[in-house]
Amino acid sequence: MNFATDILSIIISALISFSFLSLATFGIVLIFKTSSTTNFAQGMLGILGAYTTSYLIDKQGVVDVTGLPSVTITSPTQLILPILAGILVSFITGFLINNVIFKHAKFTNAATKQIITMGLVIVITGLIPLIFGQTVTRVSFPFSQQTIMFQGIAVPVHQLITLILSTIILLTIFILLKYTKWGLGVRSVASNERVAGMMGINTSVINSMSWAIAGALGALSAITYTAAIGSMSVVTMTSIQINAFYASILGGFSSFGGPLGGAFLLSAGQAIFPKLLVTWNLAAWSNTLLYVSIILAVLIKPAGLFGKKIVKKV
Amino acid sequence: MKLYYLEKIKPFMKKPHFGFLIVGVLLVILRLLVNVLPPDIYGAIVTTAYYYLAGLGFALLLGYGGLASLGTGAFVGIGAFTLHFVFRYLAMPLTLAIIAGIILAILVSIAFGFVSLRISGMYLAIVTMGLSQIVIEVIRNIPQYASGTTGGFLSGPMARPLEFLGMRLNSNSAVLFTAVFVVIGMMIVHNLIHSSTGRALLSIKNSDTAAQTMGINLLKYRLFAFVISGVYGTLAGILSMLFVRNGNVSQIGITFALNILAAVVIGGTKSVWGIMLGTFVIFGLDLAVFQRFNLGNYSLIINGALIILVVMFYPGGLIQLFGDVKRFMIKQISKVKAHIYGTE
Repeated sequence: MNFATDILSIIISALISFSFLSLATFGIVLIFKTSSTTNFAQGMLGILGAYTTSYLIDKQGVVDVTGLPSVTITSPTQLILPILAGILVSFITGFLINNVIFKHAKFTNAATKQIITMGLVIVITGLIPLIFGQTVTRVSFPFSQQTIMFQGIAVPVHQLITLILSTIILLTIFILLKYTKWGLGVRSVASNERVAGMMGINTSVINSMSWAIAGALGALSAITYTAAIGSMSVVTMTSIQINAFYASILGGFSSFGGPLGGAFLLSAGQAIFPKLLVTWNLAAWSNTLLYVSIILAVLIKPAGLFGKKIVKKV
Repeated sequence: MKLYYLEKIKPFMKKPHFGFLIVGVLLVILRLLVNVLPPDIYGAIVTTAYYYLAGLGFALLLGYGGLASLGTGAFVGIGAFTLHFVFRYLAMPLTLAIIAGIILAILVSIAFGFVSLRISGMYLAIVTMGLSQIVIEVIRNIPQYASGTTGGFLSGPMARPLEFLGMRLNSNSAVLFTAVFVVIGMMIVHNLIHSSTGRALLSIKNSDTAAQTMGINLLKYRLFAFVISGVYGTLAGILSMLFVRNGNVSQIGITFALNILAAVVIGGTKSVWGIMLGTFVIFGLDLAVFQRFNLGNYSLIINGALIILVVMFYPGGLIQLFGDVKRFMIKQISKVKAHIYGTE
């Protein structure tokens, strides 16, 4: 392997993990900006959608002998409709979470909101086996099993489609944020909810839409990720979600774009550190080193690498 | 005799410290009742007792320091796995192992404290989560430290029975340790809260700039709060290791830190007794109550819903419930009295 191929393979694997991470990160940032809480249930919201998708695909065919689900995807609609259904489920769940719980929780601060999301994690963990049966691990379906070779590096088509899909979705959201009335509302709620309410913005609609969109993004992230790794359980998305938190503080919560930059840096770090450390036979420590470097970066720039410093009044 | 009771014993019983002693005595009695009680209730109470220590330390941080740290799991891990490493692999006495754990916890918590000086709010929660993740990764990557991912005295080829001052300790005797530490821990926290330290921490919580203007040393008190909370977490880890005889790295991650946070907030961040209640709701209720009814997955849902409901409607914590019930009863009694005797 020469140097150029190494660099290229690092960039490609970083882009691939970025495609899952960016969706989850954006969901977290959206909720953080509008509801000012770190949503620990983001991964769970997503996995709920992924379970729905997987369940609907499984429903399409059962092997007569074993009774186990076995489906061969023949037409695109067989895959796309369940995926849309999964996204819809998470969308509605997110909407309900805001309207049923957060709207009625009057005496909350950042810490108590965190605990509400943690309670949601516990509730959804209990709900999933009840709804989808006791099967602990289900398999989600990839868009395509094929792999294409690019400059001598194998790239699975599924990941490529995911990357394109997430890029399109994130670009759309950014354009909406910048140029539509809804986007203006989100930005003003993010900067100050009370003042935004006084200026005639329906803050509760903005909040519930943020939760719903975050849920949908989480679902898409979960569906594509579980399909890529070929297995699914209740805790699958936890690692992605935690990485999304790190990405958000690395990039800085103060802008919408910063966390995505952080997410890319983190994915790149995940690809680079094992490659560097394997030379000294220390590959097991790559995660530790990654976390240490993130924390050092945040200590040097507390507002995040791409964030602005906010001056507080006493 | 009655005079002696009125003059000496009654004032002592009025003191809050008496209540703390009662907790210790109850734990000792619990140790004696081990064969009578159903094992799941016994386990639930002991689990509550040692995680209560971690909760107490964290309450000082959250309720008085206003620092929502998510690094409690790291300290519990440090306690459990340092005990395991020092006792089993270095073959040191138990006392030394406990002291080693505490020293390590102090060093790590000072690092946490310095981080908290630069970062605040939600960022702090995530950064402490990252720091505790680093501790967990270190534990996971040193094979001897943790025997891979789990530690246990009685499992594995190099089993070494637990001895303290020449006495053989079985896991039930470790409950006595828990009793001693819980009583001391409650007293220390109670005294701290009612001293100038507690008030200094409260003032920093409300506004660190204003507190500094009034001459309160931010560095000193922040570090102090983190060290206390770290040592308490470590003790919880040590006690859990003494009782369960087993530790698992996957149990001390972010979920554990969130559980402790929930325990403290549900119980009531500023009340020593409230935290005990909250810890029981989080760590003991499922084991002691829900599993009796064979609820399966419904127990998870009920537990989660309970957490959400308490946070939504009881911002002061469950301990507030007692006050509300008492007020309600007084109101009802006066109503009944008015009904019987008529209003004047």
